[in-house]
Amino acid sequence: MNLSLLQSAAADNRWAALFPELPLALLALLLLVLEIVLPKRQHRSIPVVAILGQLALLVALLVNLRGGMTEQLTFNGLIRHSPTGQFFRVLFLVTSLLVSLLGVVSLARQRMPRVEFFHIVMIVSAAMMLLVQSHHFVMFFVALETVTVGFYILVSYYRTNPLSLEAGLKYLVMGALSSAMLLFGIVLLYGAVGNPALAPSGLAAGAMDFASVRQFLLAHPDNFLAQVGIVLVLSGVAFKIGAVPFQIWVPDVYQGAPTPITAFLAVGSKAAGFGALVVLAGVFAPCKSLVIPVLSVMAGATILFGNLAALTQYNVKRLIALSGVSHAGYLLIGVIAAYYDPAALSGVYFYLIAYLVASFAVFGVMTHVSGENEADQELEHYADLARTHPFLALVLVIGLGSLAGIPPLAGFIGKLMIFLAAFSAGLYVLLGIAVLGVVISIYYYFGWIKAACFSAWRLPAPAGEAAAGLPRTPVAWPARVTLGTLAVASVVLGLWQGPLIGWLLAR
Amino acid sequence: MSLLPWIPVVTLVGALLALVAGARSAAAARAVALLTALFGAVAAGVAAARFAPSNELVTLVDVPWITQLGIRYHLAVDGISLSLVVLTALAATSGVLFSWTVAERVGEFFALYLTLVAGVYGVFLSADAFLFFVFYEIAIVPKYFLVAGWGSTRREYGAMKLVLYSFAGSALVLAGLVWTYGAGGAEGFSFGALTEAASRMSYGENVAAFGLVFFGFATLAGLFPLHTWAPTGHVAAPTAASMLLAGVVMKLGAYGCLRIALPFYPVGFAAWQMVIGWLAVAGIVYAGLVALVQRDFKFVIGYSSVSHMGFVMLGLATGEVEALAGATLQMFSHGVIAGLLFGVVGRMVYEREHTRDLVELEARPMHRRLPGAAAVFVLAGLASMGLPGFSGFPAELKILVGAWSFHPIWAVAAVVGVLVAGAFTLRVMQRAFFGQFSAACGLGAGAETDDGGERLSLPEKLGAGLLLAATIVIGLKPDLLLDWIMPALQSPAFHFAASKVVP
Repeated sequence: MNLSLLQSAAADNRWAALFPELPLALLALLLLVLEIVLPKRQHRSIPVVAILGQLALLVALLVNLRGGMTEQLTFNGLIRHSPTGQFFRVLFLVTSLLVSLLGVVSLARQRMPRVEFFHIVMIVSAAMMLLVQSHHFVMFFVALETVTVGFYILVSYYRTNPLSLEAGLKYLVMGALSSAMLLFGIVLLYGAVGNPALAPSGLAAGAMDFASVRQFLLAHPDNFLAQVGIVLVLSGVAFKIGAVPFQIWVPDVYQGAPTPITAFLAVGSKAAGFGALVVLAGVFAPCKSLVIPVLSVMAGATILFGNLAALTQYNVKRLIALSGVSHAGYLLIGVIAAYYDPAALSGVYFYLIAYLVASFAVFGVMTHVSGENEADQELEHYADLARTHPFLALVLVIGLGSLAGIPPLAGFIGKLMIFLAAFSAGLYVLLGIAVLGVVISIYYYFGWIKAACFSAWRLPAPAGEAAAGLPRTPVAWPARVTLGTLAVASVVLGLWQGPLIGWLLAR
Repeated sequence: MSLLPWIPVVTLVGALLALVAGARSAAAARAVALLTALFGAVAAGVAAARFAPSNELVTLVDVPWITQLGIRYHLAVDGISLSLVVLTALAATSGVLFSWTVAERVGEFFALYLTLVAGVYGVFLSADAFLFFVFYEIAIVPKYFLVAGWGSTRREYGAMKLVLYSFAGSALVLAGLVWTYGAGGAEGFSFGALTEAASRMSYGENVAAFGLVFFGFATLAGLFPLHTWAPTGHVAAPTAASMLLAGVVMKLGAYGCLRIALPFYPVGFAAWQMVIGWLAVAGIVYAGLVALVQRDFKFVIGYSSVSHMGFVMLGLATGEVEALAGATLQMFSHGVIAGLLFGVVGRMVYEREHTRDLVELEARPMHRRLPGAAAVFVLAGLASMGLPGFSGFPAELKILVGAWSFHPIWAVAAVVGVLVAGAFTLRVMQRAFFGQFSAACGLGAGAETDDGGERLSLPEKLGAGLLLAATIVIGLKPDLLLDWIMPALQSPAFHFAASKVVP
């Protein structure tokens, strides 16, 4: 490679186009610098810097929302900017902000280093943004691994807690397996696309580029090597979104991870997986006849498994984990429907928004209800929440109601949009399964609501033993404002979502 | 300017106010609840007084809601919905009066109660299927909390069962409606647009979609064999909630069948007609027989509700104008009577005697201890048996006539059901109130010495009086309602019924 080639490549590096990713990573670095520079007693202000910084970035991103929407390829075709990418940037920045807020509450109960937590959360969020905008398998893999490696650390962050360590280990082993599958799939695709005997001339140079992969698949939709590659790549992504049969890690990891990280996994990691899946679904579109059956089986099995397995859970973190699995199934239906009508994607995006809002409301309550050992959160710990903390109970009821899809909350509109798209796509079997899944889910969501709203009859504690129930963290005002906003947003998005849907449809 | 469109909104605001007021004092929450219920009653009354019967839905409000899907916030009223709005107003008001003695978490209780009432009003007033569905769900959710939070016998089981059945039913409804919207290519969810879309579906699709929507609604209406949530749910519910559940919420299901399932899919309806009719008849007889052998007072009333709702479903199954009018009248009538019966059991008897076991009640001289309750129950029981002079009589008569002309065996079987209803009502009346009657009258030695009986409180008297008056007035002059209902059934939506005039 000579210098002029390198120069022309570098000329395409439009750093300004990486607006929220780059400043976010810099902010993350700034936190580490602050920890070294600031005297120890001022370290308490570092989380405040993190949160305010992200808030400022969010405002800047929203102000400049239109600016980043022009479709363009930068960094030599590694990154493709699009309105969808811009949507996910906002989504991940909000996620990162909310995880940081919950992190403050959760970390206050632990004797752990603080700063690294916020640092890694922000780095991972930036990587998620790049993941959904990647246009090249190298970029894709590097971003995905950044996310995954970040999560290895975050999941086992409370290293004095054996369950957190166990979760970290499980995530590591399963994550490594899925990365290996993904990488193998990429290699097979590379081999097929780059094969000079097969490919149209000129493809070999950019054999990892999404555009050339798509072009190759258009010409050779029946190439066996490429098909195996596609299935393996989809498997790697299925691990991220926790779809059956790659859901096996979900309950243990969600239970063991610190609650804010559970929320991050449930919302951020899942949304990133779906962002990537939507991109890949477009790339693999020429192989529809392979991709649609694979995704359909996955979606049906995911909905049934998630809901049925959640029925028997008493630990709320496992419960929300398995219910999250079923939500991935509903979202998958939307992705499949998008093969028939691209407008279905607006349903997927709206569902993600509703899921984010409702999930963080629930996780926010969980963060406050839990004690020092965050893995130990049984349904019975919620008994009487309505009497002792009416505010938390109300937020919980709205959040769970939205997740269950009860009108007029946001989750219902999300489900409705996906179901409508599936109807017009003619996916009747999947719809039947989805409707069944929704009815099953009512049982465990209402079981949780019941636990929170009504006092359970308990054996009177024998003398000398402490009464059951956990010491609940008082709700400070920033958390109160956040949770209140999330609850209100769930209601408002259920009643009045016209402009948002319009915006989503317009893209 | 009609007050009608404001009822759901005002009731919801009342629910919020009750919650706020309840945090300070129970009396304030009660007052808020009563005022809100009275607002509904006044608004319904004014609308009823001014109502000019027409054969079209008269639009009250119509604004876009979710424009991308063509969903509108569209409220409208015709004779059928107005009858049921009046019923809701009556049941809601007397429900508040009958729950005057609720002492725990009063604010929350009335907030949930009023939310339920708001949902019910909304359903009866909606003219957009999607809006209808949303209000329907708003009515379902508070039921769970009311039953699980303030109920009695196995309340958590009853509440969960009730909610699962309701949601399963509404999931079917939603699936059917969305299918019609998608497959038929509707422009929105308005009644007209969906009817048109359904007519564009193929025969098989139409039949299947009708099945989804009808049986989804019929679950809430307590159609046999989907009724099993009803007795357990009614028994577990607190008094006011079971009054509303049996009195109004079951009507939501029947109203959904009448307003949506039948007019949208006349083709599918014709295919399912026989099945529905036989299920309705089976429900009438089966639930009546089960009621005959119950030991729990409230279970008797619970099963009697299922039996009476069977008449509504039978009327719908015939698909003839007279019988449809009868079914609507029966919805009103049963709403009033069931409210009354549950009020007597839950509030008047159970709260004073702390038992609903008929064997235990039989051993007590109830006619002396609670003469007021006995009197109300005798009247309500007579109404429930369908005696002339009470609202049940014209309603069941119309349904039976319709059933006879459509399928005589249905009518015969339903008449057996009427006889069974007489039997179980008399049995429960005798056991619950007059178990020691002969002993007290005849042999003085056997009679317990007792305090001379307890008087009913003022709210109870008012609540019972309101409902009794309604059933007697409609019983004596059913034309008051029929004059509203019949023109509404002449509308193009019910064309399928009008075309089949009995020779």
